[in-house]
Amino acid sequence: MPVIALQTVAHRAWGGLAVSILFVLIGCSRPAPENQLTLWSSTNSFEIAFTRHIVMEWNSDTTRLPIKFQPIPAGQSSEEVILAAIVGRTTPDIYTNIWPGVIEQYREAGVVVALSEFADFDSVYASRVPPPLWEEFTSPDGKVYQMPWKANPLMLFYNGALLREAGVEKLPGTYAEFLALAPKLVIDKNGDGHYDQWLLDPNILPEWWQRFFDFYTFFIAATGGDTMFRDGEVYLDRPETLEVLSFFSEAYEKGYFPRSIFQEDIFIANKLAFHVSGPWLLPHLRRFRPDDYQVFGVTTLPRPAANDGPVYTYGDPKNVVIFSTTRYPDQAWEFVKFMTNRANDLKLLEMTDQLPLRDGLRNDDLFRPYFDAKPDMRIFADQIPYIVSTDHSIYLQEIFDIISQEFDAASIHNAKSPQEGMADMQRRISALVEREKYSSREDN
Amino acid sequence: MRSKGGQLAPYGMVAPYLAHFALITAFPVVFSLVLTFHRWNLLSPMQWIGTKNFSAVAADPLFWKALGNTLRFLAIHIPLQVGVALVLAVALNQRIQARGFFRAAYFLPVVVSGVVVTILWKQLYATETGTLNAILLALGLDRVEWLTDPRIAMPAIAVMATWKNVGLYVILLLSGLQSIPRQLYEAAVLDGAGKVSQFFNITIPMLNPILLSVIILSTINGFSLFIEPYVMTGGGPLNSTLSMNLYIYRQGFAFYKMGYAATLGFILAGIVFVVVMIERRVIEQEYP
Repeated sequence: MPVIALQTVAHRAWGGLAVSILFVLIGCSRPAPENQLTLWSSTNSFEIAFTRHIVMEWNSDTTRLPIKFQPIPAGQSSEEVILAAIVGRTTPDIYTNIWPGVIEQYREAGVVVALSEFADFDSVYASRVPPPLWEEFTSPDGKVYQMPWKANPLMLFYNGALLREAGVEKLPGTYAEFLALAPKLVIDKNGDGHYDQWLLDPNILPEWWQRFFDFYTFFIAATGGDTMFRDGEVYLDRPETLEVLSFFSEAYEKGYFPRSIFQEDIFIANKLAFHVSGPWLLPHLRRFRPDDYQVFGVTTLPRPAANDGPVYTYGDPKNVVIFSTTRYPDQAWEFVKFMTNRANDLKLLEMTDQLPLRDGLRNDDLFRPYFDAKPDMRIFADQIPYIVSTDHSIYLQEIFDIISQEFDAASIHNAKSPQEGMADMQRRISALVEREKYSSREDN
Repeated sequence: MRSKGGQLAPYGMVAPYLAHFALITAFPVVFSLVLTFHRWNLLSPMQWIGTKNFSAVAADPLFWKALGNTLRFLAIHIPLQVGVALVLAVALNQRIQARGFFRAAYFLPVVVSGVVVTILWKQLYATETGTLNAILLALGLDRVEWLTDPRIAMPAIAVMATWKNVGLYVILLLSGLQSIPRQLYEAAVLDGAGKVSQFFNITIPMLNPILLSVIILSTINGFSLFIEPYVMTGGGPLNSTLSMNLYIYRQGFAFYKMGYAATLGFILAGIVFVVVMIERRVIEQEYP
């Protein structure tokens, strides 16, 4: 009897183990999508609705390879999720919201398809993308791995009611004009000895990506559209860098910009005269200030000195890539072209209020009714030819982390002078790039 | 004689645990150890670089900054945590009204999500709109830049972490207090010992094993400081709240330097081991 019982237990134990292993194997395996393309979009609800709409339209034609769509799985950031998918070889065929800053890493690892290798790429690219941006998205090897899709240019919002109340009649074009508004707009309203209305509110958290909304955007505007590298070398040791750092340093030192982390939206709450943001702020303003959102306006960023030329800014572009795990690159490319055609660009505008990276957007009759209905989007559309993306570097996050630390020290907390901050920025980023180049050469 | 199946049965029974241990514990540790000798960005193949990650750590000023910050946090957090927990445990060991309620109330923050607690405290600490500064202003005092002054941010985080975790240590110490024989106190009273003398000559020595556990757990939890600076300050201002774990996370998952992050992780584990051994030695010498 004990022997039988023991045998039964043994059989059950082995059976249980076998079932467990089976579950693990099933869990680890990837269901092979047969005869379909997989597509991930961002988790933005408007973009989900847009993508769902065009996928339905695509799938309604039964001669096409069907698309299976889902928003990108939840994660700390989309870059982390994509990275995990690359490592696990579970990338979708197409991803529609890639940040150009990671393309070089993906290119070096060979995980993205060179779209410029498709026979009709040049004509598609030239007919859609504004010519000033062609070089922006071309990798150092001369190929294009991303289809420029949409942009959200960062611009200067202002609270017209506060400006009127303070008697401000002219919007500031230079740093001096901007800071000169402080006596009228930086106010201690309740008399407690501390300001409770400010000029501008850059986020003081030292996260690397926060610098797109202050230092980097202002740097682009100050330099007339330059990025941080010139001829493959870091070029931050220049007068414009010093001007930007000094501008923020003076504003923080004098309390014109709050050195605080707010839990409320102080722009909505009428405690802020200016705010740097993209067009996504417009629906937010309409929602939270439905009765008087017209008091808010949009203008270009201030620059160190008066200049008649166009004011450049960071465009915050998001593009489309095809991952090299795809078994159907030609069909995936057909979908990318479909998704970025004229009609679907209009849908993108209408459904998401995000600007397609399409040349002549404001002169195209197809888009005119949209801009007539939403005139506050015109200024963002006009900015499209004057947007800048990021450099082609595989160390971009680390470079921006260094910038963030130096900006924190030299501008926000005035722990070092702007001159020292600029010199340290140049030295540390150059050292990083040299060290990584040297390590790569040595390892290979 | 047992059948073959019967002989194998014990192995089958321990197999699930062994598989779990191998997959969840042993493999990551061994893999991380291998990583410390490699460059790896997850995308490209691993490259052997010998001990370069270790020499890079020695020359990395942010590593030393993060280590210093973490030790500074521990220097505030551990005495505060143990002291407050001991006072509360002694108080809750008395016959007071609503004792059960207080015991539950102090434990509540332990079971609340760390992120939720951190967001709530961020609101309390907000310079312009925070509750703490509103109280200070109402008392006629000047407000404090709790999270944006480099000198104050880390102590402010240490206070918050203490509030979050103290309930767990109160429960541990309470169990220790309740296991001290009442006769010891009765004998001490007969010998004329006062309350203070009883506390230092009976309570503390008798609590020694629990105190040791509390200090060691506090130390290990303190070295794990991550959520608070990650959510509240991002490591700023001026890197004053950059903890070791936050730095490791950034190296691994923001910059994809997996080999370097693994090296930092092993160094941190070594430091935790050394600190805990020192604590243990000191406490055992003090109260053998």
